Amino acid sequence: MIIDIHAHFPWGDYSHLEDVDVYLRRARRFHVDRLCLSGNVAGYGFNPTARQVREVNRWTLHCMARHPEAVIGLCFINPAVGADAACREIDWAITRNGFRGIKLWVAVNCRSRKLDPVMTEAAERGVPVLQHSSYNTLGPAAPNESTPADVAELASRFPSVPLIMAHVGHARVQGLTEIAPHRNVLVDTAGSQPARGILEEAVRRLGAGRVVFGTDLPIRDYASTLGRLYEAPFTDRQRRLILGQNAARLLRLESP
Amino acid sequence: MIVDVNTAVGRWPFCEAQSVTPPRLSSLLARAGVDLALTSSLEAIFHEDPDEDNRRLFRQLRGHKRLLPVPVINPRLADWRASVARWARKGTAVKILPSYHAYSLAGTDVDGLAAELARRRLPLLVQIRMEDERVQAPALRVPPVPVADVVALAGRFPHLSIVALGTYSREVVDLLRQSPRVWADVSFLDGMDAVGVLVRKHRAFAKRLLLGSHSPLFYAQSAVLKVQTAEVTSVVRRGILGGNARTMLGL
Repeated sequence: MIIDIHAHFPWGDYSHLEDVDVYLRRARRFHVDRLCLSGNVAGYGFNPTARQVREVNRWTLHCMARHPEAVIGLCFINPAVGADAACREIDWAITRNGFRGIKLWVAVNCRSRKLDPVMTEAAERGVPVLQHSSYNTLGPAAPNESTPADVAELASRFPSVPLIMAHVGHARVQGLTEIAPHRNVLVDTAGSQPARGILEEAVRRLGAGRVVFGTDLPIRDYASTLGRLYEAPFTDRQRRLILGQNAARLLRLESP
Repeated sequence: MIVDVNTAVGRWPFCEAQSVTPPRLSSLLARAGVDLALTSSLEAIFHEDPDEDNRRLFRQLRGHKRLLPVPVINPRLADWRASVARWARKGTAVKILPSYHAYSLAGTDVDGLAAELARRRLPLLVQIRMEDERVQAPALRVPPVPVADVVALAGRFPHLSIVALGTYSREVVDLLRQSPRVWADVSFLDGMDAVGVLVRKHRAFAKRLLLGSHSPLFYAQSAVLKVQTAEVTSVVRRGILGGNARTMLGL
């Protein structure tokens, strides 16, 4: 089983509900079985209101209903809307509608204490949190963008919450060293171009059990992301862990 | 036949995994299904005078039938004509890296070389970028070549074949729409079915897209998969995988 932990819908030209079928066709072309959608997190700017967050998550819910066999929902949360609203959204998504994880983007740097209620909810519910992260030579893409060092700090405060740090392609070796001591942090395979080396570094420094397959679809494609995994000198066991087994464990799916 | 127009051998100083010998590159490309690759020297990017690197490249690639050597020329050196005379007669194209050798295509530095290559009917490969600028070493940032400058160069030399290596989708659109004798490789194209999306929106581009893997910096299989899984006709796919390059290079 191949699980893509990191995809966004709607996005760009893919703006109608039926366009999610294009995603699924593309996924099947590459034998990807399950697709974790976390909505158009950028659709309302860096700091969406509670109502806008709900709108983002409703799109994901519609996709889950349309393709229950393939689509897994990750609930987009903006901690800046306040603890009550954020927790209400988590309850609506996870308890009432079957979302299986939480997605955090750039509204709040992940060192902020505003994340505490969200992380507490994640701990109590046993769901993973996919946290945007990047080291960017050109400077942060958003004022509150989190770096791997920020993710490491968050992980140290909530060691029982599985944290997926997005974008190994933007982690740098520095970022891998920062998250390495925190066993609850994994990294996804998305980010930047299919540059040789950083994925191998992630497996070497974290172990294959802490790397999960994610594309950032439709910003990136299965061709470039899977091409990395096929060409990198991993064992079959390492590939199986990265492609699906680690994510299945985190999402509490039937083990592939 | 699958032809890769964008590969290199040698040492990339920022990452050991991106440094390869000719046998290693040949093996990586073979596993990705590439039959023939245009190959330059990575060291030539960093040396003001790439001539010694070209010499080593041509020597090292002897016996590697999969790898066709492509010399790097620095047109700011007063003796660039001698380098072209020395290496171009053995090669199928010439590569330049304006951002690394610190000149602009908007100026006249490259005009003499462009005229000479047009006369010799040799394509000019222009490396637009080597890396995603967001992940470059913070202290060693190299900007991309502005595609508007490539368009202007193509306008000044309408008989010169130019291949832009390392362009993003929006840059490919700008380039190919304005310049009929410019080709672009797929190495930096990304997004869901990027090649298919581009060709479906701009049918005329189908004959001017080329497989370029940017290996060893990038994984060769990523580029090959990008084209092999593109939702285009099999004719278009075969063209991008190798037919277009063979026509353009006269192979």
